[in-house]
Amino acid sequence: MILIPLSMIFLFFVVMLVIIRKQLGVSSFEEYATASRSFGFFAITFSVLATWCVGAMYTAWAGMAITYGFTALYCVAYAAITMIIMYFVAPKTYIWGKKYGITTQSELLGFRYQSKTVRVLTGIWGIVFTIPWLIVEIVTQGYVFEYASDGTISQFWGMVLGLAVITLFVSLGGMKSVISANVFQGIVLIFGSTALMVYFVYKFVGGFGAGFEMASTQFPDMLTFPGPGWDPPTPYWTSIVILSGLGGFMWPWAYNKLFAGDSLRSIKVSALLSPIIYAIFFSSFVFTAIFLHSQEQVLADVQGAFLYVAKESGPFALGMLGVIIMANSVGTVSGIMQAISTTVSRDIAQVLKSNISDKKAINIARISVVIISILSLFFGTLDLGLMVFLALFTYDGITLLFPVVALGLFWKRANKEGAITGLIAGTALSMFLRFFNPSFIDSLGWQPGVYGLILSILIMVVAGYAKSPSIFDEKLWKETNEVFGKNSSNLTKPLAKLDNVVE
Amino acid sequence: MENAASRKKNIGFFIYYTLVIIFMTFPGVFDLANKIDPWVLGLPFSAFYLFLCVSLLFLGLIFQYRIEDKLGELDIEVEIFENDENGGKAK
Repeated sequence: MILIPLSMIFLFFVVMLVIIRKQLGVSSFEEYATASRSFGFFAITFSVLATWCVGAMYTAWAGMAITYGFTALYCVAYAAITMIIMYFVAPKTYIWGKKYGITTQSELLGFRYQSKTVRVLTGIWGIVFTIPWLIVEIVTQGYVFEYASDGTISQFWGMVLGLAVITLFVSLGGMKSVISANVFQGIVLIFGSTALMVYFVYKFVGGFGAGFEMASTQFPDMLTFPGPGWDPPTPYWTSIVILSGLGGFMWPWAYNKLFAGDSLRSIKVSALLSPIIYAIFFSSFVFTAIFLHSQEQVLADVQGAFLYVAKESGPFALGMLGVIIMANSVGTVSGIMQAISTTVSRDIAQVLKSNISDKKAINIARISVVIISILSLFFGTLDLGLMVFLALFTYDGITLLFPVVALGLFWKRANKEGAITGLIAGTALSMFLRFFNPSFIDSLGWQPGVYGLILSILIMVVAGYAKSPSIFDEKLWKETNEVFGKNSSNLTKPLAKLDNVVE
Repeated sequence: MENAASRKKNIGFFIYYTLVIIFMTFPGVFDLANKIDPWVLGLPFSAFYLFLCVSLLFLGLIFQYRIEDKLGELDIEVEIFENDENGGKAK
């Protein structure tokens, strides 16, 4: 019984490593960080999807979808908003990235605001709010190994196995091997998951029509917001869609993929394709979860529901779900590790000590990957109740990068004073409201991140009008407009990079 | 320079996306669609309405992409600069 699911998971790892074997080995830090800006739309699309979709979707989000139904479709709504954000931030990110050799989100922001503080601060934000996700995903990998092997491989050794493979290809190949692996993972998870969900629907409820008919007669609340058993006001829905939508592309592991695109056209095509592919994939998951609400055994353990129905469907279905969860999880973990290691090497180490050679920068990044893996393994063995709780609320923090990015790219008056103050004050307010949970949060429905976001934008706008744009800003805007107008040959003296700026 | 038509195009699409997002999420508007009946295309109205809004956003992106393609905004040539002691040079 355990041989088939385990073999399928090991086969997934073997095929992935065979596919990326030629991508292992990098010659420069830029290659490690951006894959030399060489990937087309297909790779960027599936890489964004593989990094973005998490393995915990089949546990934590399954619990939400099976319990509350329609509300879980907020992911489809916010994905569309996130891709619009991606579409709009792509041009300047691509132009500044390529023109000034920028390789990370934090470096981009440090360059725009001409501030090492902004660079380090946004780098730290990206790491701190990402870590809970990293740990949850690693634990998910261990859980899948344990479940698929019926306990023969313990959760700890499952985590070690998954991490060992990821550490190997991330440290050796950087962005190049991460994206190559992501394409394979993305295809497996999108097509595999959709096919498996359709199979579950036909096996357990006899099709989508029958499923909806059953849902509308037996548990109609599942088909509208907020679903059975709770009664948050509509602003709760507004908040989770808007906050996730604005924050969804602010994760450095998603944003940094923009630097790997071979052209602006490739990035924009992937922004077009991703939400539609994601909508089909995620809707099939939520509808399956809604129909499974009819199963008593499923309701007894909603977070383990999909693994349970897969097990009930036989070893191949269990193996397939194991592979899909692993594809989700490995895609996310590898993207996160590559982004964190790049940030540590590029945005923290090189800012603290500017004369780090290219070779040393790669080594710092590689060592970071190994250290992150060991630390994650350690935290993964602890009680994760708090970690899951933290992971779900990290959007309250990461969304606060949105004003810094959006105003920085589109508003010449945005300045470093506003960005630093807005980021810190907005996050502080958001976290305060989240952890102390005053009564108006639940009664009004607007989530803490909304208040933090409004405060942050207000601070940035006030700071922006408090002083005129700097000479750097004026020149940057002029040069960027010239690039848009294809007049780059008329450029005069180029801008100094951040490394030459004294704050 | 980035011309006025391009700027107007971006602002126009930004307003369009904002309106659709308001219809998709905001209290008052979303509440009107948050119901099961009538069923459309085999879906409860709430799900149909959500997919309609997502489709409108997607169509907006397609339309914007086609306009930008015609305006030549998708194939931007970027000259790379490298810093030196004098502030930089073309590579």
